[in-house]
Amino acid sequence: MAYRPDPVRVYGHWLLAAAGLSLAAAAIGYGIPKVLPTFHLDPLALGLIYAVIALGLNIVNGQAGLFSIGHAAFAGIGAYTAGGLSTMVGPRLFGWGPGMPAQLDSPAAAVFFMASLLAGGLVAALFGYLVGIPTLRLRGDYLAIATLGFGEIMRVVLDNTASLGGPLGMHGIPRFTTYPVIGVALVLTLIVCRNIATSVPGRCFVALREDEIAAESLGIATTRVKVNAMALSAGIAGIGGGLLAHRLGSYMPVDLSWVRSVEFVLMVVLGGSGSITGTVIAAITLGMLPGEMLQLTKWPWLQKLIGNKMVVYSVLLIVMMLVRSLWFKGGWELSFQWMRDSAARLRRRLSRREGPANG
Amino acid sequence: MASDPGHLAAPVPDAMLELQSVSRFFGGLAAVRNLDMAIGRGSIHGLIGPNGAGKTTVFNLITGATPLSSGSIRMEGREIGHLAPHAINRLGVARTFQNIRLFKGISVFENVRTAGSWRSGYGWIHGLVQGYTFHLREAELHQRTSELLDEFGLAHRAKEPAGALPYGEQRRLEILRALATRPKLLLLDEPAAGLNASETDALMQLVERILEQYELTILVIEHDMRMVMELCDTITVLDLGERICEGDPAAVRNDPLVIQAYLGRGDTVDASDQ
Repeated sequence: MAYRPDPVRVYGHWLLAAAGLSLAAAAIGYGIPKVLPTFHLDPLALGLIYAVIALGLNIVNGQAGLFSIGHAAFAGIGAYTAGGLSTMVGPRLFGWGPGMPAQLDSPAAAVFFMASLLAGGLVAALFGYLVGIPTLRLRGDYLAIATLGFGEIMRVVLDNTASLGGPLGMHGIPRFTTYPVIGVALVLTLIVCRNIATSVPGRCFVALREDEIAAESLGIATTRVKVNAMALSAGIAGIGGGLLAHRLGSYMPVDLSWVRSVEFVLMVVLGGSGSITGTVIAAITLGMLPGEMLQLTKWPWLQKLIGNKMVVYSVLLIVMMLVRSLWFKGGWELSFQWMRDSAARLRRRLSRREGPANG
Repeated sequence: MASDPGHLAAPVPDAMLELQSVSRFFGGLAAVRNLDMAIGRGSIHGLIGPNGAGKTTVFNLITGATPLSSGSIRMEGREIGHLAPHAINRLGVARTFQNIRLFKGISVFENVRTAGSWRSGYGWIHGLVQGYTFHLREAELHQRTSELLDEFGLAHRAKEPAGALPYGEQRRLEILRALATRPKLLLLDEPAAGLNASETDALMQLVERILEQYELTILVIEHDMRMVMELCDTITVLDLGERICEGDPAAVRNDPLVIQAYLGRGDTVDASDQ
């Protein structure tokens, strides 16, 4: 009969992975703030949150090959939803207000915060679904323009919605996104993305990117897969947006503009389009850059030399684009399989080196 | 094999696929007009005709890639004319493409495994949690995929990107990928195009082997007359969207209409010289 996996092994690995990932979350949440100098903490936090949003975008842009330039809008929808819950509903439930700053001091408040993040993700996913149905018949450039249009519509609508702050946006959002929160959110996002990518749903995304007509002829319901990809991707971006709002303390319609969307696209492309590992590294790097470049003010001579930090940013982008193929070769992932393979390769190389000496 | 070439010009008693007065118009152009065709279970049915005769359109109609203008297509008695391509595949129709459509950027193994994915027996939740059911179904899928690659001599290429394979192996891989959906009816669109004589021989062996091993029915479009004549039980000849002849290879070879369609009007020419 067919090979049957051993349940003990399967669940053993499962528990081992769960333990390892909890450790990773703890390392991000409690380790980094202890180890890293304070002035790097804010840029890094932004980088880690951007990684969540970029991982969401990676599902459509990288894996499914659907080019979206509207993900700042999905993140914004999540941010406004979660932020709105925290600034409008939270105070009534927990008595937050003037003289009584919002804090995560009770389990109920923590649950409320998690629920508002999830609500942000769900609303964004719903928008992703609704945008997906009519636009996903489009391909390539046309889909890019359609999602771009969606993002700009959302920005203009928020600009003109007085109850949500109009062009000034939403302010006074409690800063709940601490490092432990980021750690847990990023690890959970990674698990979702990794598990989708290594199972049938993720393979369907890739089939879609590679050849839609062939995928359809092989029993893959391409329209449904596309809408699913869009909803999942928008949902993750929405959760990232909620995190971002609770880190920055404010969120503005400008944050939904296409310029921000392009930044997320850059992270995905720079990470090797489709690679989870690459996306995370690129998102952290690019997300940290603007904050880190503020440090340049410590060296006035350097600042005088460069003139404008955006010049540095642009030049760095060009350089990273030119050399990206050096490290992010076609869909490389930092996986257990890769580690096993490279360990075996290393052993072979070592034994070959020893071989002639022995013989 | 269930087919008996002698009587197939008459109605097919046990048809896998039946086309009834199928038409497809592109604007004013009739790509296929009033086509009747029946493919017997377990047979190899050839579809030939000069360029532009509408052969690939027939494939696209059967697989749902192009909607019907009128008529009906029945697979094992079930109407499939209105279904989407993926639904038709799930009823047991798989195809290859004239201009190979592999997932070029991913490995040979992934190509075949992806094709079998709707038969994997698990969905989103199991994929997300990756508990025991997931590992069990994945192990089965992995085994089916490796067996298929082993059996048809592509195991040594498993890790290579499909786009890097030589042309002949790409053709073979595309057939394997179609087989991974475990079809009952396999449509091959010019499988021998671009192959040399020995590769064509290997392809013919492959086709005969999968026909018996997987209890398939095969419909093949082919321009290589040697292959068509040797392989097919029945041949349908299309010209300008209409059926001009149907029968066993010997009958088709000597049909004056067929000779005329391929070679034009003139003195008698023996079509077997092609």
